Amino acid sequence: MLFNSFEFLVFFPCVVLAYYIIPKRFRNIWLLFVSYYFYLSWDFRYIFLLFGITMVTYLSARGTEEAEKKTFQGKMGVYLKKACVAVCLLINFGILCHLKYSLFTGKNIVLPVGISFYTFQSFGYVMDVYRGKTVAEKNFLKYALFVSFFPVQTSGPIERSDNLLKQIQTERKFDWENVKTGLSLMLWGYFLKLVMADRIAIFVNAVFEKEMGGVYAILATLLFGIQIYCDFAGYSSLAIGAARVLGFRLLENFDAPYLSKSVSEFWRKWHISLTSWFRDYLYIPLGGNRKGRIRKYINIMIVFLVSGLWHGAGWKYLIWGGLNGAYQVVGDVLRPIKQKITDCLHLNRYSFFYQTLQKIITFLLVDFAWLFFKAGSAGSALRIIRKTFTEFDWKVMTDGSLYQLGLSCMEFRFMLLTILALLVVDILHEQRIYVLDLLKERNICIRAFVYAVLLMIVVTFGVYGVNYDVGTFIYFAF
Amino acid sequence: MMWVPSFILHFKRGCKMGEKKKKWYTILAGTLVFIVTVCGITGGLNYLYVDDTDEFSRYMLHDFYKQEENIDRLYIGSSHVFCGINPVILDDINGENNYNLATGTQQLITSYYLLREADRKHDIEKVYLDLYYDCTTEGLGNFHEYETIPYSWIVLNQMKPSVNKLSYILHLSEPRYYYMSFLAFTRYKEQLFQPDYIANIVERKQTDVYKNYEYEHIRKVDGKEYVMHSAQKGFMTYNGVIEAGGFYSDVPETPMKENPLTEESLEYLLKIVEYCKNRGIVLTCIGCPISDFQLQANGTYDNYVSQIRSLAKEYGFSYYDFNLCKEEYLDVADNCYWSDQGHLNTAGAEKFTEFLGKFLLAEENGEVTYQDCFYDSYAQKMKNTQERIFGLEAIKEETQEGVEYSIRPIHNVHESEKQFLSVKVWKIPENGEKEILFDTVSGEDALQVILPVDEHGTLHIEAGFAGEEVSNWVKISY
Repeated sequence: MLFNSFEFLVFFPCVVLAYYIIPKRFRNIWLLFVSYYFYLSWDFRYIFLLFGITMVTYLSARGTEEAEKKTFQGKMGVYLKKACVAVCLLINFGILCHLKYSLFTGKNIVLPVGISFYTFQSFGYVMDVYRGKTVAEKNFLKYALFVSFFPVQTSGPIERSDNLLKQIQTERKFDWENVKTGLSLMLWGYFLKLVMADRIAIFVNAVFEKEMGGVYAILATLLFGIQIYCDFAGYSSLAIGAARVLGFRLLENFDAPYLSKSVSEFWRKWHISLTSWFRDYLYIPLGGNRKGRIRKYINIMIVFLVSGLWHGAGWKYLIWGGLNGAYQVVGDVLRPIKQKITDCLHLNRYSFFYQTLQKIITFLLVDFAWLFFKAGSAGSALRIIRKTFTEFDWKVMTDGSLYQLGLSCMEFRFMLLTILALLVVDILHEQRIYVLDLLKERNICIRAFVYAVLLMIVVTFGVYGVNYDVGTFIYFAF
Repeated sequence: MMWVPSFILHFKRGCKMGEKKKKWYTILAGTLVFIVTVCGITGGLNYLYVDDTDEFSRYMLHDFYKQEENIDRLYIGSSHVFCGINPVILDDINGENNYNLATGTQQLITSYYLLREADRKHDIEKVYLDLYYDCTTEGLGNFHEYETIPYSWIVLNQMKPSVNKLSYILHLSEPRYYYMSFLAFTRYKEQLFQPDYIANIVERKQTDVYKNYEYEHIRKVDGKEYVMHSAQKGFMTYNGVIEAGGFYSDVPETPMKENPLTEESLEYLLKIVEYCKNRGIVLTCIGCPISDFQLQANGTYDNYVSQIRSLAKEYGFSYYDFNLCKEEYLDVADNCYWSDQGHLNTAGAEKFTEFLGKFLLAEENGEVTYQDCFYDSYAQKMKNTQERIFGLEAIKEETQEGVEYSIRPIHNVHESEKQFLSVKVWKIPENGEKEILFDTVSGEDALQVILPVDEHGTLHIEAGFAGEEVSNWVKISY
């Protein structure tokens, strides 16, 4: 069951209605039940995996905490703590690696939905307990809900114990404001996914499937950057909105990433929950930037190569991660030179022109890396790059050939219009002006009108229907 | 203290405070604005996209809703009914108010809900339900399947909002197709970015014919125009006529299996039976005339008749199949009574309606019995009917060797007489000379003609029986 499926449109209202009707003390149990049902809808066998990982991390966290308490003192306690985390690490990531990276060995195992997300989320919790940042949850049901909470189960955001678990532990009251905000976030999510991402995907998929070069490849790569943003930000918005309706506030996952002025800034604003997870549980334990420049660069490369591998088994993901790491290393190395050049040329670093140029360059760099991410394989990506130069022909921009790939001229224009609208929203977001907040200040009739229009835009221009494949969320595959 | 759901408490508490009390009104106003906006946009989009300009059901239902006089006898079924039964003639015969509520390709689910719709406003005494085999058997009889749902939509589009209509929508399809039943414009997604389509629809909807609910459909056959007009009480006049060469078809008839009624059809037939029983309505199932050309080509019509007969016996309703009618009572075999192989034209309708009205009246008064006017089976009718060729069938199929035509004269000639059937086939290529392909006097049922793919011209087929002059002929462009 995905958020853009018909089943979810039936499932969610039923869940919410029952959630607010039943007494508060049963709400977590109800959410746990529906979260397992949600997971069960994929394949009943996955349930055992989810339960197993929940059990292992629960016991590890409890063991870690017990080791530090009265039972074991001194070094023995420390060793035991580390042993608990190590066992958890081995089991969790052993399963993940076995399932996810079997492709490298030629085996073809169907990857359980959301395994990368809940494995990271639950291991992050164990690490938090190990570091004393959070107290191990004694109530297994509450912890199980933390791991399986259906809005974040399949594609994140990867939650933290100090956020989601704390909210699970506290009593939640019905708040009309939460319901309204949640529903409007979901509406925005549907707009990004159905109206934008799935429309762009028609053109992008056609180009990448045929390994077309020249202008097609350039356009499709540029558009894929927008598609994956709309797809994943749309999903995150749906997850955050659904949780908000139920009274939970989840972590933000995107912060106008394509308006970043450097690749490192981009990664602070893109898939924030995963980037911050890597920062806290991999980059910092590796030494972060505290052990000299060379170690810092090595750590960055390790983090981004692991991030690439997290996305999937394949050289293309490794290259994609490596490129993003390399951008940051090279950017850091060249920073003094860049500063000297701008000083010599008397360029104002704070001017609109300079900053816009930085944003464009960042977008192009990130977008080039996306080419590897999107292509069928690393070899396919290299062939497309080669064809981009060998088959370059400007004419296709004007002779109508572009409109032979699934999107008519009118649809293409409509797509560009929606991209423009998204750009405006992101620019406002960058200025910390939130459209949703602006709306909240307006009269209820105006709000209702805007929501109705947005709903009808989604219904009218959304890509869905009989031949629509609901399993098209890009991050659903991870 | 009694437990109260938290969302009710939320509003209840709000009501106690003066400020919040005001919020109720604003929520109501917002809800109203939302609903009005959604309905307004939906209405506008339906006007732009939904093409009902050529739908007979639009005119028929409009006329039906205007009916003030009580409908005593209702006729429901497929196009054979609205082409074949003229209620005005019946009014004169039985002195009651007759109404034809048939629609194109009416499936039994539609018949059921239209019956309920009529029964809401009228005190119906008798219902005549046409059981056309194409609408109740495999294919169109699977009316829950997506491919056949549009036949219900053409009726749903025109039905007034009611609980009956809601029930129809909810029972028509799987829930995932509901959106297309509720929001008609979403069925036209492929036309979304087609300004020419929209302009065309708007132009047609601006005409007086459309605005005044005057149905007029012009059908072009072999360069000749035949006009279909909406007449009174759901009857449609059609001035078409079978040309001198006789019946011809290029579509193969699908022979019926032993158990032809689909589960859905049976379910709704029994629902109609049950409904009529509960409401004190006398139900009579009928079979409107179909040409012998079509029934003979099918070859298994008696399978269908026997099944309906056993159902009629089991569930206690009458069944009169007018295709089994003796020629001395109803003789519509002549080409001049048909507009095509399945539909009577206005002259045929007049002849059939007169017989129908008189027979039903006589049967009610006990002046005539079924056995007097009908044969036991279609095979028996064919045996007692003068031997002749009803028409020609030429089924085209693309093969590796070329374009293959399977040519078959459809007749009721006995096995021993088949030697007197003659079929002549020749071709006249565009730039070539006339070439005889077959000139046979034999008992062969089907002749295979293979023509080169790249050759174009005209194929002439002629057939005759027992040394008579050519009785049937057709010219096909290849």
